[in-house]
Amino acid sequence: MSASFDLTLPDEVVAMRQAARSLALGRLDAVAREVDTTGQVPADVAGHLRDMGFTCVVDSEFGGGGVPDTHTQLIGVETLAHGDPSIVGAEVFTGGGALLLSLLGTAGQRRRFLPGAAAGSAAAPTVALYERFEPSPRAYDTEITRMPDGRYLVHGEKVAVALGGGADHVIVVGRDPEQDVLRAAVVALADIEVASAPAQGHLAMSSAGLTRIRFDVTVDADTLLHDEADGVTLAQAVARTRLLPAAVALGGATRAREYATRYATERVAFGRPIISFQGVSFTLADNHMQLDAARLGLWSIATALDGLDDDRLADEVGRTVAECHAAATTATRDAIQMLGGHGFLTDHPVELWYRCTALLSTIDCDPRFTRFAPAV
Amino acid sequence: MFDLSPTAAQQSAVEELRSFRPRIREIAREVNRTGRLPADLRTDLSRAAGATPEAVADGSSVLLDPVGLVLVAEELAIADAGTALEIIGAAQAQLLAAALGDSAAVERVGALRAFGDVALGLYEGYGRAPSEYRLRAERQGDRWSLAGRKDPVSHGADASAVLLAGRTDDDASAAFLVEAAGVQVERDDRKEGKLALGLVASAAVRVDGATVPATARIGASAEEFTVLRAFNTQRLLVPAVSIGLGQAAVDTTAEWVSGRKVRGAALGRNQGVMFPLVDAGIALSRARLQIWDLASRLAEFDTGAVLERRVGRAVAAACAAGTQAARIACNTMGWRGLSQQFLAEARYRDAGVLSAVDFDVLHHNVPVIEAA
Amino acid sequence: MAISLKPSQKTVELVELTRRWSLDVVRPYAREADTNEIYPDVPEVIEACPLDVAPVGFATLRDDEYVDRAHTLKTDIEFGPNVLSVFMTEPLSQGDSWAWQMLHGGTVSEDFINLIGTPEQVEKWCTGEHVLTAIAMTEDQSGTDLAGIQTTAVRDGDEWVLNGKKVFISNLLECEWIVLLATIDPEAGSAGVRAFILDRDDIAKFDVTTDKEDKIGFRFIRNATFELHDIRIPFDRCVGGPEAPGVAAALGVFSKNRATCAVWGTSIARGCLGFTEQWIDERAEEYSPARLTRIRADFAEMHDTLDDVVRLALKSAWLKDRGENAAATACEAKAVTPKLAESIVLRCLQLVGAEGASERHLLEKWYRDIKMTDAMLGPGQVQRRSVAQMLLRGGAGR
Repeated sequence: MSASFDLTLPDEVVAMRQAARSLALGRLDAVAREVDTTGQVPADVAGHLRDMGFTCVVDSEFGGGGVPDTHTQLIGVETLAHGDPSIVGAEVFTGGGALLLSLLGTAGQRRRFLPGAAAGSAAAPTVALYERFEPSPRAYDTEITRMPDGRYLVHGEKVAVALGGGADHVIVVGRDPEQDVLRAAVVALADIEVASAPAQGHLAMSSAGLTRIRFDVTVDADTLLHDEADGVTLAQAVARTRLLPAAVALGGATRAREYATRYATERVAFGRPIISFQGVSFTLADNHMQLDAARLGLWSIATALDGLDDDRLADEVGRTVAECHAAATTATRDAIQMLGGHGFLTDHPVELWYRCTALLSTIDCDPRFTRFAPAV
Repeated sequence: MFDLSPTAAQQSAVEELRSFRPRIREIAREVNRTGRLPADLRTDLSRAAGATPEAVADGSSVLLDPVGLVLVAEELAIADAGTALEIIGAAQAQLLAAALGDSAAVERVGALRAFGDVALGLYEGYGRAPSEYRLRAERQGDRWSLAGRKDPVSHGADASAVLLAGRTDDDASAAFLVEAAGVQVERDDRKEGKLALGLVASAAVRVDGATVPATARIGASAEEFTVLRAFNTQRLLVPAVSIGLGQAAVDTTAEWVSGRKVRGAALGRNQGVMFPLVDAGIALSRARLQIWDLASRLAEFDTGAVLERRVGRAVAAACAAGTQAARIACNTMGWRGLSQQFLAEARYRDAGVLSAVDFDVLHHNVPVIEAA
Repeated sequence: MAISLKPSQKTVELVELTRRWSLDVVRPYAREADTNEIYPDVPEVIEACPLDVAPVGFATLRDDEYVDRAHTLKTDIEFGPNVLSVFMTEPLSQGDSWAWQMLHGGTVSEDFINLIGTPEQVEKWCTGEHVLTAIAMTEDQSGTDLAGIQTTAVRDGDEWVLNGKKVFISNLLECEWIVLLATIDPEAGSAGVRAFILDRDDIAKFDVTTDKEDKIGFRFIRNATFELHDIRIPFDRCVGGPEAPGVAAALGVFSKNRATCAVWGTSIARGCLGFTEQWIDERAEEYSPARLTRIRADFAEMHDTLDDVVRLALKSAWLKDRGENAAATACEAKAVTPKLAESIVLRCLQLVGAEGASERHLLEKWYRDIKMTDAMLGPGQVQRRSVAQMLLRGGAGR
């Protein structure tokens, strides 16, 4: 996209979006319920998603589709989430390590992990990013500290680590207390103890295998990712990673809004389609506006990732993500509402989307940026 | 035990005041422009509301009970918010003296009222609750030296005396009756003009080290919590008035809508028109029940902090509900909602002024982002 | 008389007992109720309940019935059974919602017959031992709109012949009898709708296409879909008889239940809030001071918000107890409460974080359950529509 204000999508992004949409509605949609129940993504679906190159991003040097710019990835992920936010959300979580390695991996790390991830023969490392009590990466409790012998101690606890993809390595993001910078290290799962194993079921994203992990492990210096490469800093890459689940939530919620709108044009009550009641149509219109506003916020921060200092960046991302989740949970809630009693039934996918947006909103929630504020 | 029926005295006061509603509404715009309420109407309303010096002094006033104050204030405000504030506001200093159990002061204030208003200097702005008031009273021998600022004070510029709520140097809540000469007027809204509620002669006043005799302290023997509760009780007037004006906005707008057609169809069939009005009504109901609950159990709180949190929240909820109702009423009526032919725009202005009087940012949850 | 919103001391005590029962006795079976999608078979839980009758049934208590097992609270009915029922609904689901469904008087079918049935019908169906009953209103194309009912009842000599389809009917397979709504005059819209009583033998003839709808929450309540093909029942099973003015008069039972249904939601939210407060308290040192301050302010506001909407329900119950029109206030309570209760549960989920959404805790269950209180007895739009109509007629009242 051009540097000055422009919302025109380049032709290739438009084409990509069409392809993503047909995968979303043609295939993801069809297997959503099955994946919710079994926790397994069918192999062909996993393959298609990998080929799209948005959920598991791999540098073209290693056989992947290349690293799209942040906008393109956000649009791609959101569009795919139209099909089913749970599947796409889980893929975004399990594939997150490939993006970090493509952006900041050392030559050795990239050679080791990326070809397998691109080919689908080995899972990309997953990412241990989120914490229970500290949403801002700048203040993470997890520490990656240099020891006198030159090795590094990785110590802390992470939540929402997606083990469902079968990864055997995890990229831990933490703070270097001496340098006061972010660090990321590749840790073998075999070397650590998984605190809450076995992974427990969650409201949604059953294929993600979300797990809480405690780290207390010493690793070699060569497991560290670069702090910066090609002008991208680790803080920026982490920020980008945090934006993706928000895009997933917007995609699921937008689909829910569309679904409810369509239902409302068909359902008749009191002698006319319920869409003709302003109580219905205005609510849907409000949802549409809120989702649009949140999406513009998301795109806006995506253009500013490289223009903010690390503290500002962490807070701005937290704020943007909160806005997206607020809009998404409201829209899916109202969508269920539009379906009346039918909204609760698993005959309709809306309840799946409702569960998924709620789950996504819990993972990266900073109480400083949201507040319980009952409407008067 | 649970009951939502007013007492017989409250009920008859409310009903009598209701009979004045058409007349008050008819002249509401005029009295708020001129700042003058016809003398006969003032007399009648003061008597019906229990706001006369005699009724407060002999204990028969319904306003002595916080629930009665709230009920009467809302009823009067349904007719006109300015009139409600003017009639009840005139009795507030004396009501406060009564709540402090100082019968001599009740008589004294009652007698002073024969010569003009006795203003109550309560609010300070900056979100301060009574326990945080910074009007300071320092003991100097057998006199008190007072310093501080009050804003807004009804009739602060033309009262014969002002009852100032503040704190002593040993950090006790206390009230001092000060003659007008001892008080400086910092801003007189009558002179400068203001957004709405022109009938209420509001002003900002200050005392800069004026000394008063020990006898100026009202309710000197009352316990700290009694004084704090008495101050907080008078804070209920503003939210009750806000609810009344909001209800008037909802009711009159619904009436207007019910008689109106747009392109041949009843306007009221549009849920986009009716639902916001319904929601405004629900917010008023919630705020009203919250205030009733609070007013009926003011005596039960054991700490000032809990009491003030409750009062602060009730004030915020009522003022938010009032401003919302007034705003929706204007929107619903289109350009008529903005025209001075109707009271809708006046209520919108009234609600704005009221909501600013006792505003505390801690209780006013402007959402950063609404949690769903 | 004087305005007061306080429960009596006895009520306060019973509220606390009931809350403890819900938290300590009911909650341990909550996960099981959700997973197995049926009421856990633990009669001792129901026996341990301090209440004798479900609060929604208080208003139709018979002379020989009591509110509580200790038989002491009936005197409080002087402030009205509907008010008491709102007070007692608040603690009921704080542990979890599944158990109180099993208490006597938990469904509205008996109210229906008591209100519009003939004396013989009341005698036959509504005296003696309480049994679990059900009500069948909803159809594919009609929820709260009676005029949309397409199931027909045609008289044939001494019998009614029923045909049609009902969806989403709670407790069909567990109940002893059911009240079913059908039209005797499809041209007449809602005026043609009558209620019919069908017993277990009749229910056995239903063509049940789904005995358990898969749904997001309240999974312990089974919802069935069934078809009626020429089901014949005796003529005297038409509630109130075919000449009676129809079921519209009995829809008032729902206005009473709207208030308790709203408070059902606050009860779930309150339980959720209690759980979350404790969880956060145990980890208070983990939070930055700025966040902890915000979180505590959130908790206070959430409790206060619940208090606000419970008062609306109390007011409608109070009006109902006095025989005044409670419809508008009941709709107001039902219009706003589910959304607020739901936003509170979501907020709790978010405050606990990803773990809040995990099945380790019950928060994720309550988040699914709370959604169900929304559609029951009509979602917010339908409530607002009713209030709007009353407002236009000048009758929404205060």
